[in-house]
Amino acid sequence: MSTAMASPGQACPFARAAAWFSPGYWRFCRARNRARLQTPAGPLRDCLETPPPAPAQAVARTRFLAVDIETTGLEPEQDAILSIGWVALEGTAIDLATADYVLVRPDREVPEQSAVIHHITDEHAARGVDVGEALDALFRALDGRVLIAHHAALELGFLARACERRYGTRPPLPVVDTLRLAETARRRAGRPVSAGGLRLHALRGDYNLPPRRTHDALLDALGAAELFAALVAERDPTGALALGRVLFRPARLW
Amino acid sequence: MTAELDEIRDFLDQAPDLAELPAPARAAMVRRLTLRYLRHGAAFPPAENGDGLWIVHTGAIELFDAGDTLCDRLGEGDVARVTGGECAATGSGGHARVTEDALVYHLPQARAEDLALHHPALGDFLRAPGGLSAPDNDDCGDMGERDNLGTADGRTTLLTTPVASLMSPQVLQADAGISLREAARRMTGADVSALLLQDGEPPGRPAGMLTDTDLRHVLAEDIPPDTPVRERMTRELVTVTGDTPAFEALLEMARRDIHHLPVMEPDGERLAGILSGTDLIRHQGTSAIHLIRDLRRAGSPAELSLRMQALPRLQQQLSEAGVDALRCAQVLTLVIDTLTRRLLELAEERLGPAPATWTWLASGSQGRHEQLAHTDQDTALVWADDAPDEAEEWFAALAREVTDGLDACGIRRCPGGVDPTHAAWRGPERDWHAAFERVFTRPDAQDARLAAHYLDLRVIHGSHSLFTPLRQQALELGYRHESIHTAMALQARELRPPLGFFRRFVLEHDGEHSPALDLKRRGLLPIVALARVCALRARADARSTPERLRASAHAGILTDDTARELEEAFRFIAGVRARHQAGRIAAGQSADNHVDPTTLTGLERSRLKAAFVRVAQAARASLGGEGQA
Repeated sequence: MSTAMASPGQACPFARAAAWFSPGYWRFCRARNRARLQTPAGPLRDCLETPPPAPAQAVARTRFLAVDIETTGLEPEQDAILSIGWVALEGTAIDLATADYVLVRPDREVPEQSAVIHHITDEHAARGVDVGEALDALFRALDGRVLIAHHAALELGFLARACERRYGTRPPLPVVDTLRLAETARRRAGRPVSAGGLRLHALRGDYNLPPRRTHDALLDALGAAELFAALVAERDPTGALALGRVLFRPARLW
Repeated sequence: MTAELDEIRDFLDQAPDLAELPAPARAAMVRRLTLRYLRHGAAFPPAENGDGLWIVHTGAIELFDAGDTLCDRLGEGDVARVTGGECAATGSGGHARVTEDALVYHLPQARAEDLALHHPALGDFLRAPGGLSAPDNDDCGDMGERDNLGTADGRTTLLTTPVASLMSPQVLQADAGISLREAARRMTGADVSALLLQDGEPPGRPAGMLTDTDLRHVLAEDIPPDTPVRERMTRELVTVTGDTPAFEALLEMARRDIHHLPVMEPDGERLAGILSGTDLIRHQGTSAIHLIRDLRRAGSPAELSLRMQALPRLQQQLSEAGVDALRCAQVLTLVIDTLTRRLLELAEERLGPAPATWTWLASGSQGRHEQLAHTDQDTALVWADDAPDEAEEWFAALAREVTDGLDACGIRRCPGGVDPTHAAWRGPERDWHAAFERVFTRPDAQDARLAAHYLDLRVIHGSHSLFTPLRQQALELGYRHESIHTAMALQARELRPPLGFFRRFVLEHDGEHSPALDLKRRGLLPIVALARVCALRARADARSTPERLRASAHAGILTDDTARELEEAFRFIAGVRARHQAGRIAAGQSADNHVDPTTLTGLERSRLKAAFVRVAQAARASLGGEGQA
C-alpha cells in the first residue's frame, strides 16, 4: 500500500475534534474497537487497526475501495459468495492498477439459475479459492479505505456473515452506498424514484456513463466506482464535500 | 490473480487516436489508467498532476488556444496530451473545458514513461503526437492495421519491385555487323523480341538494339535482308539500372512509347538483362502503357472518348496495386496529357494548318502533375505575336473542339471558366505578357486566383519557345513583387483545413459539424496553395507540390522539418483520397473527393487530424508574418 494516505487525525485536527461531538461516530469507533479486540491477527485485524476516517474529512482526500460481491442468491444465511471484485479510488479518481477479483469456490451447490446469470460453471468454481482466502485478499485491499458498494446492505450482509464464520466477528466498516446516494440525489432534484431506475445500469445511463457488462464482480465494482465519482461530481463541483455527507449508516453499525 | 478488464482494452483498441500504437502497448496501458468523471463546465485537465495522456470515453471536452479560438473538440476515443498542466493541442496560454459530462481515462505521465520503457512505440506516441511517417521498421508487426492504410507495407508491388527481379537475364546479343536476315533468324531461334548489338569495343555497353518493330519496318520499306543490322538498329538506347523500381521503368516506357529497356549493372557499363513490356504485363499494371498507346493511335474524338472510359479503372488498379497516390496522379496526368495532345492533333487535321505557332497549356492539377480521374479542365492557349488578325478565329475553333473533346472524355469543363474558349485564356504572346505584368505587379483582390493558375501553367503541346519567356516572367515578377505574395498568402490562409473530427462528423473552426470531408478542397489545396506561395518566394521553378516544398526548404523559406511534414501530410491525404476513390470506382460510383468520416479507419482519422494540425501550424508560421518574404 502506498504511503500517500495521511492518517485522518493528522490531516484535519479539527475534524477529529468535531468527531468527538458526533455520538454516531463515537459509537461506531467503540464498536469497531470491540470487534478489533475479538479478531485474530490477520488482514481483518490489520484493517480494523487503522483508524477510520473522520466524517468531516473531504471526500476528495479520502481513499475508497469499490466492491461488488456476486452470490448465488440474496440470503446471506443460505446463499454462497461466488466472486468478489474491487477497485480502489483516491478521492474520486479510480485506479485501474488496483482492480482485482477473486473467484470463490462455493461451499454449497450452485443453483442452476445463478450459474447462468454469473457465467459460473462447476469447473470455473473449481478453480476458485476458499472463501476465507478471498476475504483475506479483500481486507488486505480494504485497509485504510472506505468501502463503496451499490445497494451496500447486500454486500455488508454477506461480508458480515462470512466474517463471522471466518473470524468470529462482524466488523463495523465505513461504507458508502451508491444506490442510497443516487436516491437522495433524485429526491433532491425532484425526480421520481422507482426501484428499476435505481439499478446500477439505469443510473449509469443517467450520468452519461458507458454501458458495461453486468454480473461480473470486477466490472460491477468498477461500475459502482464510476457512479460514485459521477454522484460526487454532481453534488459537489468544488471538491469540498465532507465524507460524513456520503456515508451510509445502518443503525447497527454507525 | 489478474483481473480481466477486456472491456476497457476493447475500448482502447477502437479509439481512433490510439490506433497507431501496437496492440500489446494498448493492452499494457489498461492497468495503468485512472478513471475520472468530469462534470459539465469543469476545467480540463482537472487538477494538479494532470500530465500525461487523457482518453475520453464518454462526453465531450473543448480545447481553446490562447486567443480563445476553438482548436479541438474531443469526443469518444479522442486523446489529449497534457504537459505542464496544459493540453498540447491548445499551446501555452490555452484552456479547455468539459462541455458534456465525461468519463475520461488518464495515463499519468510517470506511468506512461515507465510503460514506454517496454513499449517504445508509446514513447514515440507521447513525444510526437499523431506521427505521419509510416512506421517502417516498427517491430510491433501490426500488419493488419497497416494494411488498412494500404501504403508502406511490405508487399512487393509493381512500385517496389526492382527491375532486376522482372527482367530476363538472358540477353540475346550479336555483333552489329551481321545482316538483318541473320538477326531475324537468331531472334526467331531464341524466341525473343529484341536483339542487343555490340559494335566493336568496349564489349560491355550495347551499341544498339533491334526489335520486332524494327524488323516490321524493314519489311514494309523493302530493305534488302543483307543490309547490316548496324544501319537499322536503334542507337540511342534508353537504359535503366537493376535497382530501378519497375514502376519507373513502366513510366519511362509509356512516356517514350517503347517496349524494351536494356537493364544495366549499377556501374552503368555492363549489361545485366533486358526488360520488355511483356515482363511488366506478367506483373500487372500495364494498362497505363496500353491506354496511352491506344490514345496515341485513336483516329477520332469518339474513339478517344471510348478509350478514356478505362481511366477510372486504371486509377483503381494502380491504387489497389499499392501505387503511391502521387505516382498514381503522375500516371493519370500523363494519360490526360496524351489525350489532350491527340485531341489537338485531330483538331488541327480538321481545321487545317495553324496560322501561327502556338502552345497549348494546362494549369491546375494537370499543370502540377497531380491529376486524377475525377477532374476538370484548366487550360490556356498562347500563339505567336506574328499571327494575322483573323488567326483568333482558328484558335477559338481549336479551343472549342478540344474542350468539347475533353469534356466528352470525362474531363469536365472548368466551372471557373479557365479554358481557351474564354477570351481571357487565349491570346497572342504580348497579351499574355501584359496580363502577367498586371497580375503580378498590381494585383487586385481577385488576382491571387489568377496568379495561382499562371504559376501552375505547363506546356502540353506545341512550341516550348512561346511559353518559356512567359514562365520566366511569372517567376521573376512573382519573386520581386511583395503585393502578389501578400495576395497569395491571404488566399492560402483562407483555405483552412478543418480542425479534425468529432464523433461522426468533421469538426469545423466555428465549432459546427459537417457530414463530409472534401479531401481536395479542405485537405490538399491548403498545402498546394501554401507550397505555391513559398516556392514563389524561393524563386523556384517547380510545379508539383512536393517539389515546391523541397525547393522552399532549400531556399530557406520553410524549415526542413516543416517542408518534410507538409510533404508527408500531402502524401497521406492524397493516399486517403486515392483509396476513397478506388473504393467508389470499385463500387461502380463516380470518384469524388467527399469522404464520410465514419468510413475512415481509426488510423486514418487520427493521422488526418494530425495532418490538418500540421498544415494549420505551418500556415500560421509561414503565412502569418509577411516580413519573411
